[in-house]
Amino acid sequence: MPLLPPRWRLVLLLLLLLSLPIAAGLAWLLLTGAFDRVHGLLPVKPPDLRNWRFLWEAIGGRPPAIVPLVNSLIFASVVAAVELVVCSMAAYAISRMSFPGRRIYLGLVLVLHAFPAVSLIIAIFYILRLLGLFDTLAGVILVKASLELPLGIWLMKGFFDNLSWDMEMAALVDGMSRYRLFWKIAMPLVRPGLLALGTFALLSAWGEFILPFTLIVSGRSWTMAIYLQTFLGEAFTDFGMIAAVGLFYAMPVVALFLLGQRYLLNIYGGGVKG
Amino acid sequence: MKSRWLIAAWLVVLVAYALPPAAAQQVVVIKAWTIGPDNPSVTRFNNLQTAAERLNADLRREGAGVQVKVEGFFDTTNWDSYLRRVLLASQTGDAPDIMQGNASLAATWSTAGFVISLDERIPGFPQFKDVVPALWDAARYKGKIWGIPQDTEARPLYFNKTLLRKLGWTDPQIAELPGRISSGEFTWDDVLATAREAVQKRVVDAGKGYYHRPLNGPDFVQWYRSFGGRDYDAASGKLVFNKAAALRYFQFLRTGVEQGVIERDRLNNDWNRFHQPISDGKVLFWSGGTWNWAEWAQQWVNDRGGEDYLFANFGYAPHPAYRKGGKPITLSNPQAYFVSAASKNKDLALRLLAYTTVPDLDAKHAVGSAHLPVLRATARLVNNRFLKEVSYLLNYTTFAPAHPDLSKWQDAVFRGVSAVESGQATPEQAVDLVAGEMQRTIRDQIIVE
Repeated sequence: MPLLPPRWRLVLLLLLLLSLPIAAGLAWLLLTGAFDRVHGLLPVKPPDLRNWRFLWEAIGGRPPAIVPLVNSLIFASVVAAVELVVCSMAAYAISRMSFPGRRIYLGLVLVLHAFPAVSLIIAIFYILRLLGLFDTLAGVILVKASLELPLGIWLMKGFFDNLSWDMEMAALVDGMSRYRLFWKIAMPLVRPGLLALGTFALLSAWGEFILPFTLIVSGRSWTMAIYLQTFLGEAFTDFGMIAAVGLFYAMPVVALFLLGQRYLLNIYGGGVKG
Repeated sequence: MKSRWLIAAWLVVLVAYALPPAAAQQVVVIKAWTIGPDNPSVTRFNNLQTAAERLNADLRREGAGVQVKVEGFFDTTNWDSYLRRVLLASQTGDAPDIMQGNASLAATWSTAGFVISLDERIPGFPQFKDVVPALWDAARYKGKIWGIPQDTEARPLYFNKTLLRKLGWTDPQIAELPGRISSGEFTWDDVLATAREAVQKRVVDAGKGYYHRPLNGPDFVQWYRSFGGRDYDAASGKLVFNKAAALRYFQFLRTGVEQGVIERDRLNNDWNRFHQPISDGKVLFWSGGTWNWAEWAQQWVNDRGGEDYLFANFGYAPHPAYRKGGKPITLSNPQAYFVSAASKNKDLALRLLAYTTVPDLDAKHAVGSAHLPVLRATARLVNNRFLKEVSYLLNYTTFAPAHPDLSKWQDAVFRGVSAVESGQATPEQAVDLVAGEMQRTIRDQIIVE
């Protein structure tokens, strides 16, 4: 007996065909990173670790790979932490409290989300220059986190809206402060949302290129995205090493995605189970 | 509780790392930004580090209580992004102490106030006395010296000896070619005729008779000059565009494309499409730079014998004149180290540059990257066949004019070349377009003749 009805097999075939270019790209990345020379998708020389030598030596005047790696880890984790704290606090206030201008504030937050980061880049440059934060990781972290806030606030607001009000009311009647209530009762209940937003923020910050590329100019604060870009030479590109650096750069993302995909799906669900 | 402390400690470390570092004691960090973009030129950065070690030894001997550490990078991406970084960093007052760039950038960077003039400081360092005098002129603008020469080069017209043999040339004929170009006997028209014959006889594929660089660069100044153009009026200090010379150059390109000698999309922005066919021995004539030799040897034909393969197959000559008896030409685009106006350690930075401008480091860079040395002593020291055989090209060399609007001039000519080769404009239309653009963008600083 066939595993799938014929109609589904056709759909599967179509999906396979559509995925082929992506699969070929990934296969090229893996093969080129692993072998000394690859023609198309065909290795013509034996496997070689030379492409990975960026891990233990500084290549051509670049900082050692550990510098951009640590920078990227700091960048992604701090952006995620800032987003989680600020978004959940802002979302809780919007969801639970009534204050003048609440609706306008919500609308403005959404408008902020409409601006692509690139359109703000010149203004951001001047602000960072004024604050003395140009060419520092702290500056890019602030910019990235604040640009991600609108989405995060709206997302977390959805989660808080779905929480039962009765439980909080009972806690308030028992004399619990708002602040304690937020940390002890509300936050644990929106854990799926926090995990989803955290994963999303980490992935987004890890892959960020335009902001560090524009706002960081010295090698000391390079992130992995800029490090990878420096291998794309105008005069010569070592594709073996590009593939290896690309794989190295992608590894944490793949791991995070495998671990966090369950929570990532929550972004589209939201709320707690009753 | 323990985990809270751990998180707090982690946050403190993060903040400390992410904020700008406090000024270091004892160790002075000299930030230096350098660029190839060709990989073999990495000695532009490494030599600074070696020089710092020697400087530190002397500083210890002097009991100065200071040590120097060189930080920075060597850029292999492209000039656009490198210059953007310099611009942004200089505008924020956060520029590195040392910046390397084309010596002709002296005009732009000094006008913008990014770099300092070095005239008063240079006599303090005997190392600079041996620098080839013409190279100081390349880094001079408005009577002042703004940069320390780092290297120079020449841009030869290369030819493939094996393909010429296939075309029926004898070995003595091939050996005579550079001499015939130098004497003005073999002109651009002869290049075109030979390449056309090679295409017709299927010695090379269509479009591979003559290659030039695939994107904008100083070479276009050289080619325009080889067709009799002048680009600078010393008396008025203005840039010049000579319509007759530009027309000759554009007509040469258009004829080349129509005869199947030059690719219609030669300006394809892709260096791989330049180096690959050349190093595979499929192109008859091409314009390149001496530094390309090191790139080909190390990165393109390394597994085919490296330099031996190149000597067996490639020849080099100056670029020809456009008429019989004319003077051949090449262009040098010397590189220079500049000391930024934002540097807090200008004297130390210049002293480091003095320690970099010594024969052994100069030779190391020259041999490793196929550039020509800046010190007269190095020329005697270097025993390298290629460098010896191309150094006579400097007899025919010229420099790009030091003018802050040079890049606008270059952009306009480049657009003209692009329009002519792609067939979007006739040579006559292109000349008018270029002249119009220059008058619009360079205004009173351009003389159109």
